[in-house]
This record gives sequence, structure tokens and C-alpha cells, in this order.
Amino acid sequence: MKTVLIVDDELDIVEAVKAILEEERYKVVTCGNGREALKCLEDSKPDLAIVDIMMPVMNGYETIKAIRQRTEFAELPILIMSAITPAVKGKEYSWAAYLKKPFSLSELLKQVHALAPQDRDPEQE
Amino acid sequence: MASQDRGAGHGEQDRKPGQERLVTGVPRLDFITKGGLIKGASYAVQGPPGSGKTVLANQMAFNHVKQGGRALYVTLLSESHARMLENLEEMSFFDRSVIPDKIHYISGYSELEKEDLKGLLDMVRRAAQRHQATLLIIDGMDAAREYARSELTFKRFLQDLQAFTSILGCTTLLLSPHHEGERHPENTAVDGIFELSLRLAGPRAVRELVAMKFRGSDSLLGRHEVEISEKGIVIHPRTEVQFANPQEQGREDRIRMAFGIDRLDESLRGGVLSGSTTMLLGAPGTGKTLLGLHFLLQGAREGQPGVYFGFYETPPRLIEKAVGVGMKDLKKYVDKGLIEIQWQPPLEHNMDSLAERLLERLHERNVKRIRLFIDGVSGFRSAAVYPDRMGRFFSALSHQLRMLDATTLYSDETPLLSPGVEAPLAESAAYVENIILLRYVELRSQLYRLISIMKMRESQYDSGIREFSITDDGIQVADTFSSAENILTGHARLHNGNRDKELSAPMGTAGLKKKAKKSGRSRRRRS
Repeated sequence: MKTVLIVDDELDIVEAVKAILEEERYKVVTCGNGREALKCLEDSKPDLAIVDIMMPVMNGYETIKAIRQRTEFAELPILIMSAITPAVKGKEYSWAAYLKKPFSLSELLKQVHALAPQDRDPEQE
Repeated sequence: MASQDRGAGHGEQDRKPGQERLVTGVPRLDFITKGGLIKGASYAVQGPPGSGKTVLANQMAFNHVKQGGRALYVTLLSESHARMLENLEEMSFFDRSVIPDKIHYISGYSELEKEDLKGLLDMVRRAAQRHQATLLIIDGMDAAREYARSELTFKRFLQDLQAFTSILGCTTLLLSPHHEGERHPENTAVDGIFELSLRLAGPRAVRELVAMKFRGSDSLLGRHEVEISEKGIVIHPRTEVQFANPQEQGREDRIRMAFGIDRLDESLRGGVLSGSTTMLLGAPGTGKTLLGLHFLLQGAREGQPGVYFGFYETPPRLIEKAVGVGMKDLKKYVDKGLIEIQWQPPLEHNMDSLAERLLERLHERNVKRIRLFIDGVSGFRSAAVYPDRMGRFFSALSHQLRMLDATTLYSDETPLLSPGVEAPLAESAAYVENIILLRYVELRSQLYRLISIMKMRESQYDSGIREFSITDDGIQVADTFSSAENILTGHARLHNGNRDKELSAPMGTAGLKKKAKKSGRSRRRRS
């Protein structure tokens, strides 16, 4: 089962995305800001991080930079989920894809399935 | 868009770009919302028990499925699904074959009992996603509210639900009972509020829908009457707001529309102008209906179609009445379809529904130079729940009829013997261009009929009063004003000094003197 880390201060969105991804058999870990995300990164070892840009304490760019500075997560796929289009700032801020809020279910699942494809279910084979 | 959802001036231009709509298919609800509910938005539907919330929501669900959508219906009520569906089975929109595949009914009450709002939210999220719901209905939000620890918790539940359904692109209806003065916390969170009501207006039960709020689009807010029939909910938007901004243009090339009564047509300088609105005012029995039929018949003779929209006479009775006074060819034109009799049976009507029926029929016929006789205004008046709307209602209706190239006659009643002349509807002066007054004048135990043109906008006319009669050959109007002059003295009553003045008998009757000679009784009475 793949793990997705959601970092967003909008709790209703976090809960909605969590419910959707859990239904898609992802393990979901949620954090309300970048500092919390960095704390739980080691324990959760996510396969994908979904990060908002506008957050208190530590914004999305700072969070991405901090994640990239950790060797283990330098290549972690990051999906930016924000109402504003992210500005390109350099390699240390790199992200894999951008999902503009508000987004639809199909847009969300398309990005998540592409960045963290689920392993085949042996029971279904 | 169905004809019932056709209105004036409420089209694509009112929509915001990129705003997708969920067409409800509920007659005229999509007209009120100018295109349907906004996809992914949430709406509160409130009303007392029996006001039609469940019917409305199910009607939307079944219609949504017909358009390829999928609906999830969550009940938080004690009523079983079986009982609810049993009540819906008689409705024409009901289709058992789409249950449970396209419409999925689940009860959320046990989740609510076990795990309060969080349990309910989790269950709804799972079910909506699995079912790929594009319409979510939660019926019984009062139960959810009772399980909330605080108003804040309840609002948080709504916010979480909305965030989820918004991502799903799933439109949400939240149904709750409403009682007078009750405040619903969800009203601040939802995108629209529809309040259904059920009340008594005199002996009559009146159902209404009030569109209280509709975010993201212009809409026809306010109170609209509702009917529940085997078709489900049918909404009748207020006529005066339906046509506040009419699209159709009236014809510029106006012609005269004659009555086929020589002296009257001369007085009208050839007839009333096409596209105009004329009021036939008169006491009961003065001949308003016959005069209106004359108008339709003359039109038919000239090849112009006509519609009789009446409340009193059944079609056979009306034809019989016309034949009795020489209008023998009325039946011929009715049989040919040139004249159409739209009889409204003596039931409890809805004023806006009557207007819709009339306008839809004219739209369907789509003919030029149509003559319309509405017999009469009192039929609409008795259907009015809010009498103060009458002026605005008729003004909007008349304008719309004009736009449809209809030349309209309304009949309306005055008191039987009144010294003055007052239109029963004072506001009628604003929308009626012509007024023809028919009245009785009592003189020496004889009733005389008089006709006069009181008003004719945009045209010259003879304002003189003439005597008229209803004969075997239809309505006959006197050649000169002299007989009317003899009849009228003050308020049509004899002064003492006039007792000996010679008077002719009313037109079309045997003379008084002749009668008196033949009848000893008459002689004795005069002596």
C-alpha cells in the first residue's frame, strides 16, 4: 500500500482528499503545516507528498526546500495543490505536478495514480 | 429547454462562464434558477411535514438519472425506504428499474447513532465515492443537527461535507423540516435555500416554494406557487417576474380588428388596434360574452385565428348560446380549429398556472394576428391568493400577450345597476388600452342596454353612448345616439317632471304602447 502525505492547513480539503485516497487504498498521513510535515516525514516514509503553498508557520516553498534537503526524500514526488500557480524558483524547490484548487475528483486521482501508482493487488490477478 | 421552462430574458447571458448546471427537470424550477442548480454546490430544502421536500428531492434524483447522472439518497429518518418509495410509486417520474444501480438509497441513522456526525460523514463519503454520485441527497438534517455537540460542530460537518462533494463534482441537497421562526445553521453554509410551505388561504391549501438564496447566479427569488400532482412537483413562478424582461418583440404593422358590428366598428374607427388590450366592462347579462364571441367570429371570417379562454360556459353551452343569437358559424370555425375554446373547469385554480396554460397554448399555436377573448378577469381573481398582485399580474400577462401578436379582450363585471362606472380592478387602466362599457339602464320598468367606448389609446373614437340589443342576428347597435339620449337622464333614472315623456321600448323588443293596448294588465298598471 502506497503512502501519501498531505500538507495543507485547510482541514476540510485535507479530510476530503484523505477520504478519497483511502477509498483508493492509499495510506494517508495528514499535517496542517510544513513544520509538522517534516516531523512526520521519517516515520511515514511517504511515496507522494501533496503540498499546499499558502500555509502558516512554514509555507509550501519552504516545506519543499526542507524536504529536498533530506537526501532520503530528494526525489520524493511532490504534487502542489494550491489556488495559486506555483512560481518556478530552482531545483531545490522542484515539484512533479501542480493541481489547481478547486479541483475535481478525476484531476486528483489522475495525478495521484500517475505519481504513486498502486502495486497490483495479488487477489485481483 | 422544455416549453414549461421557457421564459423571457433569462438565458445564457445570466450564467457565469464555465459554470456547469444540473438541470433538475422539475417543471419551472430550472427557470427560477435560470438554468438549474450549480454542479457541485449545496442547497438546503426546508419545509414543514407534507410540504413536498421528499417528492421534490426524489423527482430531481430520478430526472438526474435520466440525464445520465447517479444519485445517492441518504435518509436520517424513521420512515423506511420501502414506505417512502411506496408513496412515490404513483408519480410519473418514478422508475423502479434505476434502483439501486443509478439511485442508491441508504440509511445513515445507525451510523449517526453509533458514531455521530463523524460516522455519518465517513459513511456518506465512502458511499458517494463508490457510487460515483453526482447528486447527493441527505433527507432529515434535523437528526444530524441533534447529534452535533454544538452548532460549530454541525457547521464543521457541513464544511467537510461540502469540501468533499465539491471535489466529487456532486451537487448536494440537504432536506430538513422547518417550522415558523426556526433558524437553520446550514443556511449560512449552503449555496442556495429553497423553502417549501403549506398553509391555508381561506378554505384553500396553498403550497409555495420560496427561493431565498441562490449563490453564483441571478435567479427569480421570492414566493412561487407549487402544485403536487401525479407528475410530482410543478412550480408556477409569479407571472410578473417571469416576464420582467421580455425577449419577444411586438409587431410594428398594426391593423384594425373589427367586431363585425357596423356601428360599433365605426365608433372604433374600424376596430381595435391589433396587439391591443381591451376591457369589456359590464354588469352580468349585458352581453360581454356575446360581444367577445362576435370579435372572435369576425376574426375567423377574415381568416384570423381566435382563442376563447373562459371560466363559465362549457364549449357546447357556449356554442349553443352563440347559435341562439345568430352566430351559427361559430361551430363551423371551432370544428375547423380556427377558433379554439379553452374552457377552464370550475376548480381551484392557480393564477400563474392559468397564465402559463394560456401562454403555452399561444406559443404552441404560433400564429399571427391571433384574437384572444379572456372571459373573464374574475376567473383569475378568484384564483388569486394575493389580491394585491392582480395589477402587476395582468400588466405582465397583457404585455406578454401583445408580444405574441395577440389582440386581447378581457371581460369584467360591474355591479348590476350602478350609478357610476368603476373598473373592478382600478389598476386596469395601466395595462388596458381600450375600454368598452356595456350597461343596463332601468327606465319605467324596462331595462335598456347601452354601449359606449370609454377609452381608446392611440386612436380617435366616438365617445357617444348608443343603445344596443341582442337579437336573433347577434348584437345590433343603434344607428344614432338619440335613443340613448332619451334613456339617459342623470343616473339613468326618471325625474318627476319626465313621467309623461314618450319613450321607445328597448331595441329589439315590442313597443310599450303596443303591449299596453294588447295587455289589460299593463294598462291597469299604468293607470
